[in-house]
Amino acid sequence: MASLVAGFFPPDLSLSYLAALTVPLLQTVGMAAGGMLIACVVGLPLAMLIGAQVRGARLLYSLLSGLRAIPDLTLAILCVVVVGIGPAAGMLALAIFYAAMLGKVFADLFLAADWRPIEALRSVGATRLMVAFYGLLPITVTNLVSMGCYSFECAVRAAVIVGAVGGGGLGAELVGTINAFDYGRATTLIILLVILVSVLDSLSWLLRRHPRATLLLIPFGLAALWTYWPETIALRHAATTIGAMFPPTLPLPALQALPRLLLETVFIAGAGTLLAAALAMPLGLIAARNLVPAPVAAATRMLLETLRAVPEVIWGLVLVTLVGVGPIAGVLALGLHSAGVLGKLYAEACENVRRAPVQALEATGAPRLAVACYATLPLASGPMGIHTLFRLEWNLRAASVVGMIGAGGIGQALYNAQQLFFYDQMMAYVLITWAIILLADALSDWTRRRLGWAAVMA
Amino acid sequence: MLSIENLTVRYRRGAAAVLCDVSLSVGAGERVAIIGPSGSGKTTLFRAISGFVPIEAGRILVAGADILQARGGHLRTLRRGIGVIAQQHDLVERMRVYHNVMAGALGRWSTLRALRFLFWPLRAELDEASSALERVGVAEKLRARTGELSGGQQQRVAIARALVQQPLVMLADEPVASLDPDLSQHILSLLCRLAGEGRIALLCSLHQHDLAERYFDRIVQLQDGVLSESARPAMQFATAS
Repeated sequence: MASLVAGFFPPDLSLSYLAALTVPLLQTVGMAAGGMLIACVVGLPLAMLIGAQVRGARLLYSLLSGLRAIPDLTLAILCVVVVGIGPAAGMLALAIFYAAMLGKVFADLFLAADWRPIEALRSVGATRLMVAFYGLLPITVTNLVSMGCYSFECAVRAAVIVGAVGGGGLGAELVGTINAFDYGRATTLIILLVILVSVLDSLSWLLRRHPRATLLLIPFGLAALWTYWPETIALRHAATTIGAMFPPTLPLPALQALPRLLLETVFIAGAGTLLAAALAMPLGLIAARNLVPAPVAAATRMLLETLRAVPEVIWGLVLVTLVGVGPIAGVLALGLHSAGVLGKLYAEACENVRRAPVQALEATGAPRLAVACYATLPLASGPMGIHTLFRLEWNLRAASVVGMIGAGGIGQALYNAQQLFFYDQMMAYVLITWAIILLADALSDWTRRRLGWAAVMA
Repeated sequence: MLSIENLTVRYRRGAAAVLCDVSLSVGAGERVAIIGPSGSGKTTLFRAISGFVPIEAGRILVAGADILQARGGHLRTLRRGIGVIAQQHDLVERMRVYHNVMAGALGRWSTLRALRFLFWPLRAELDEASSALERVGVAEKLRARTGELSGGQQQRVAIARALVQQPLVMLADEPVASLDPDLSQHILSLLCRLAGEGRIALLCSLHQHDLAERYFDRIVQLQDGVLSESARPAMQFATAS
């Protein structure tokens, strides 16, 4: 084990390798930009239709919510099967996923927009399209842009992941190095990924302050579309492949194994969240600027950022080499990534507590730890609980896809079926995954409503 | 010009009526004030006249046409004849003042023209916006961002938008509720003068009885959804400045 871990060091930082990474890096960012461009062009008009409450808007809305529940990685596998391995498949998968996502999120923004100016425009006798351009869009534009930036950030991360199942780019490169036992280069790739994510963080911060700069991304997306557009679109081949997926069927042994697979998926999600919470609790507290000295907080934050910057699937790829194929790799993968996310959220929850009760205790001369235990932590525990529940929901999705790189559960069965060209079985697993996620969504909605928790952005 | 006959509105079946058998008519150039405490149904009445509230019984005629029977394009044509000035917050703050003012013309513009004006306003259109703003006294704000204007200035912009609409009926829902007394007087006298000049039927809801008496031809009272003529006779509006 130790020697395996040591195998990942030192990273390969030779100039020739770094230069060779330019193409996969551009492919990854290009996939995200091209996919997002298509997603915006499709998603925004759909959202406007829903926002204008045209006939059938409700149906369209539930279609988008449903489509959004199919994980990006699952879509990527479908796209690889249909258009072949390469960035085109990754781009198509991202375009579908984010069109549904932006469509729904933008529609939510439109529906939540202040109705008074909109009713004023309608009372003038303006058409729905006019109301959209003179009311809905200008009222919501700031939120649209910041939501769009956030989605682009997610799309780049997703572009790395979809690469791992045949979409090209950094993800494909990472799978390649691991399969070639070239672990030093895998470490280089992970470092590159962490840098990429932090660059994206600051880029989206900039874009939120200067929304107009978003337009600069359009030529970039167009260039990506131009470069990665599939050279030949084999419609007949695609049609036969899709035909082979229907009707989705599972042979008897697979059906018998299904309950175990489902349990395994739920176990990965639950144990992963538990591990994440256990790690995040101490880490989050020593990352809160109001609890520990600033340098300590900054250092912990760096660690949390690194954990968070590497997506579950990438952690999974690495961990499968360390602990072998199976659910334990999945639990660890989810645990490490979610620990980064939860640690950051816990720290923020501690920093955002109301000042007055904390100061009241400080005024009594209580030591720091006592103040934390008697004021800060009890005050922060509510939001921390909400974040953890959200993470559990998220991890149920993640657990169903992380298996595709060998980390057990339903995802692994899906990936195996694809590798063996059992497309009807593959489709069956896709539909089952979809059902799990819809169920998880409904369950967490229900729980939140029961507990009366307001939705918090996780 | 505006005629409301036996209007009843209920938000839910079986719930108490928000408006109960309300009848009212306002002639061209006539200025009518509605007085009533908050929650008495004033805003619901106004929204019903614009056709935004489902009606249980009654008719609303604008220049002889029944707005409740109208759908789609016809409803839009009728709405064009009704200018609305709300308490506040019904301007799009991110847009320039001239966009908000000329939004009043959207009812008669084609969609293409509406889109073009967003990015490329013509001289003549800006002149129209500017002259409407001049009539309400804020011509210098033509190109300002609407959100940067004060409450009183925004209220004037809203009136300018209603003027551009060239309505037959003007509905003002507590147009001075959030303004100081001086400004309230200014805005009300402006509204009444413009309604008189344009032969527009003006229906305006207010909190303050004294303001209603000073500026309006007739006062009606709305209490718990029931409309009655005011007990006190209103003075004739003669002091138009």
